[in-house]
Amino acid sequence: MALTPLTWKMLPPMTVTTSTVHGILDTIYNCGRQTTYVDGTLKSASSTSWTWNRDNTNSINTGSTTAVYASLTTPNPSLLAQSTILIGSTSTPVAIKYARSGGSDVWSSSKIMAGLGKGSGSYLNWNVLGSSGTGTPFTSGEFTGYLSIASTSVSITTIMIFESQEALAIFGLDNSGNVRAGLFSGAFIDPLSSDLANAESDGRLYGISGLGAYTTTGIHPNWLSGGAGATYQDILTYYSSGSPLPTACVFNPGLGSVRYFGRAAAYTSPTLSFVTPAGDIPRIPIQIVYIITSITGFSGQLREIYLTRSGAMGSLLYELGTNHGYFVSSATSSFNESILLKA
Amino acid sequence: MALTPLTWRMLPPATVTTPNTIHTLLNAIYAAGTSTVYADGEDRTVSVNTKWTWYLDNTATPNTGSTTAVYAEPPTVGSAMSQKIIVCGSVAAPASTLRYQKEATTYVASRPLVGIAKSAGTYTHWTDAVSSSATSTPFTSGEFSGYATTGDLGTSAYATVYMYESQEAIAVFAVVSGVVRMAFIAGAFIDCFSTNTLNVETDGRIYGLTSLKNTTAGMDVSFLSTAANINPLFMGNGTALNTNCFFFIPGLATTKNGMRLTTFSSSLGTFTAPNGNIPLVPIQLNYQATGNYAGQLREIFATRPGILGNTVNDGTADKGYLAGYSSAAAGHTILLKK
Repeated sequence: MALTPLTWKMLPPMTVTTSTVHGILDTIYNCGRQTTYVDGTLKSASSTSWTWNRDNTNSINTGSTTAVYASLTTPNPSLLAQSTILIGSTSTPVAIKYARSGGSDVWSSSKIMAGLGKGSGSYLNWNVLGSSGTGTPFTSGEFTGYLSIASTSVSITTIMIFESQEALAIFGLDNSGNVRAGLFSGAFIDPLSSDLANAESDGRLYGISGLGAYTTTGIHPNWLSGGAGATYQDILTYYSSGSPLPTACVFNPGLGSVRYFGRAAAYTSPTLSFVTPAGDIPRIPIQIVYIITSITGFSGQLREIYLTRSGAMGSLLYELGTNHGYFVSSATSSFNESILLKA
Repeated sequence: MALTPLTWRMLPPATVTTPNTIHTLLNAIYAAGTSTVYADGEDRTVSVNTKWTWYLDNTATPNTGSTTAVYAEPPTVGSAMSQKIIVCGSVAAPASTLRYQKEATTYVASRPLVGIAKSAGTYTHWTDAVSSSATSTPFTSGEFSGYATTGDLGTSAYATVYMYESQEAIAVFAVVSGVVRMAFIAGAFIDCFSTNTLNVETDGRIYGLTSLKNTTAGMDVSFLSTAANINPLFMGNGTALNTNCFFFIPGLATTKNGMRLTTFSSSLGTFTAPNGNIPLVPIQLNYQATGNYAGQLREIFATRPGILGNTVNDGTADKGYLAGYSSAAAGHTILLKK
């Protein structure tokens, strides 16, 4: 049975004042702590509101923000406590755990990385958790390990955050409006099953998907129709090889280990013409599969995240005064292949 | 709003009798379509909502006395456009050039032809749809798609016909040496989720047909990912030697090509959930020329690799029927949901 539908909301975009790892993390923190959504609704009155905190006292770079973490303000008690954390530092961490094995995506002083905890306790310390399978920046629970979502080798000047009841999406844009950083985190895949082999005890799958740390480009304009591989920088598909590497993984239900995932299909490029002959804008569910080097099984379906007509990043889909959702694509200044986060 | 879900049923496979000709193939299609029971043993009169009525023509020229056309109409539920599906061919070439869906198509006896008509009147003869008249039809009235090829059976033993029917659409596969050499799905098999008459006919449906191309190589093992020249289903781009997928433009007699929006991985692996659950993934279609969204296949899903003719049963009841490129080996597969 399908999970309760999510409602996605967009926070007002926020300008990055200092395009360093610390400045970007500060902006994510400040963006997340705003009190209203772009549609004018109060965050405090919304079930989609997450609580954002930061660590700017860590000895690794004392006085600078080196971690931002978010958890649900009023979590449904039936859900596993999840926390999303983003980190970055100019000094080398003591010991941290990565989502990819084999050293193919590891810390550097120019990277923003992110990880997801489930069953999480309080925040403890992001950089001394150890590199073992059980290491976590929180006092308890399981942790995915860190994966890259951005590189400060490209200037990130704007942060966009989308919140829903059980998942987050965060993007960083350059001063031309191109998406250079990207992250989905939380229970954004519906396994359409409550079997404990398919889903956690609360019926969810908890996962995280990052764009990687591209130094020249960001999300590819044809990311939904392009072939596999890192050429088509993609925020919702794991690639086993290439450089840099987008990473997408979910916790194995009941365990602290992860498995990688990707989209079940590519799509014929959905342009502005991807409407019905009468002009209706379709919303196509996106199915997810597990991947090692090839498909190894069915995972589920993205929750209120749809393939749709091409759109401009961050723009709203309005019809007769009703907001139907938010376009996520590669740029704010052109109509490129897009998904819709349903409002 | 979505159309009423279809219920697909499988008919008992029919064996093509010798000699292996287009005529005995058509006889087998007719035999499958006029079975009194479904493959699960249920009397077909019980599920009258899915029961299509089949007719045959063995009086037309050429090859008078042999079956040269079989045609079918759906039960009178659901769609309201009087659709008819016709499958035809003859060992001897027809006297006049037929009216084809693609003008470059030439007549070859081992390539069964299929067409769809809407608002169709009474059957006349299959050879009445001729290229010299753009509006000609094998029926007394209505609009006709022109004939499309459904594959090429070649010269070896024709073997077995598999037929599936639902309230508003049918699917037919013919196997030679374990590989599907002929296949089509026809009728109101996509849903545009709209009642706007720019999108759909006045009854809310879109009528169309998808079929294989002119090759004895058979249907492609990865038919949910391959291009129209590799012999998949649900891909039509108008090129003469490629597969067919087309739909009547609502309110008109002309058609336009449709194609899969989704390109599944060529290797779907096990494509089951970790506990073994079998996923049913909706399949979407675009219009090829414009990129407009056409609709979603009706109770036809991409699913885990399987074998044509198999039934999915959850231990309690049949859930649907698997259709793929082969009756002997697993490849890309669709499930026709019961």
